[in-house]
Amino acid sequence: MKNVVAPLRAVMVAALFVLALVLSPEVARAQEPQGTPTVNDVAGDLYCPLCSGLTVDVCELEVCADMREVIAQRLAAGESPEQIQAYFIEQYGQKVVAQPARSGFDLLAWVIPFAVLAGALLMAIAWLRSRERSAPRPLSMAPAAATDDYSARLERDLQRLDE
Amino acid sequence: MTQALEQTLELEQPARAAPGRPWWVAPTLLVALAVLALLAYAVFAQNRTQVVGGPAPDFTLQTFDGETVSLSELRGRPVVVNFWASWCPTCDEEMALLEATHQRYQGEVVFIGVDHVDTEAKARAYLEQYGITYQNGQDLGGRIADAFGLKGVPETFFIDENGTVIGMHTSVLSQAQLEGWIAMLRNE
Repeated sequence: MKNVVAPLRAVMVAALFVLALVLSPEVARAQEPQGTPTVNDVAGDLYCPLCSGLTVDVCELEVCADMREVIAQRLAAGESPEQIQAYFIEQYGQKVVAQPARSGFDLLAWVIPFAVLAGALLMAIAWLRSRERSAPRPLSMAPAAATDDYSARLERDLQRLDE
Repeated sequence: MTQALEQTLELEQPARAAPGRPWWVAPTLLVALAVLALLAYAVFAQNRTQVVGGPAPDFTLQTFDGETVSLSELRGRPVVVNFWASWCPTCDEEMALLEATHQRYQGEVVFIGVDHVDTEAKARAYLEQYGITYQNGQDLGGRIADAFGLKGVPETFFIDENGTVIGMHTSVLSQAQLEGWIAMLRNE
């Protein structure tokens, strides 16, 4: 049993490590000092609705410059970054936050990675268990009675061959 | 004699496990099939937005004047749907033409402008600059663009009186091209 516990522990540690990697950006963000948000703070969390992978704070397209202007106006009006983000999602769709919606078909994008991770974990556990079941058992001294029985039987068969 | 020995040896052989597929094959295949199904769905969803030749996707547009216009309510009249944006470097080349054609066929052909990925203030200023009077509104959430499978701006769709998209034009329209489409919409 001891040789199964160690790999199981390794699988658990690996799973926890992956979970920590997944959650670490949120944790890091939660620990950031809370100051007055700047235009670039808000723009850095928004993606250009026309190009892929560029955030609004660094994108040079005119539409992104217009978005930065709107962010500045809304911050000056006292809106929170969350309110501004919600406004742009309403204007341009979910693509501006580079996150699938947490409803409808897009919900699959949130569920599938965790389902695959859970499935892989279960498969790893099942594999370890099956390996343990099929491993050769340690040799032990055969009972004397069984050995005697076998010897007697062998003797009988050899005699039959001689006849 | 030999038979007896064979029987003896058979008795001594350990039972072998029946050969079969490794246990992990089925779950792996299942996951691979699920991923393939999702990819197939994505491709299908992308192709589904080729609207030319089929019924026009219905939409409701909140215009800059505060009115609401629905495509389904315009059934029975030909409609020209033009996608544009204030940041678009070439859209202004066809704005005057669209407005003039709208004025010319007013009451016969409906013109609708859909402002794509824009800011409201810039869009309003743009419409004022080019003196646009036909109905225009922002495509909130990009839903209309998604439904029409928009590739970029400017892009114009031509919908006949039965609600069928008879054609589309990508990039700036020339007067001859627009007149040609209008003639087709009016069954000339």
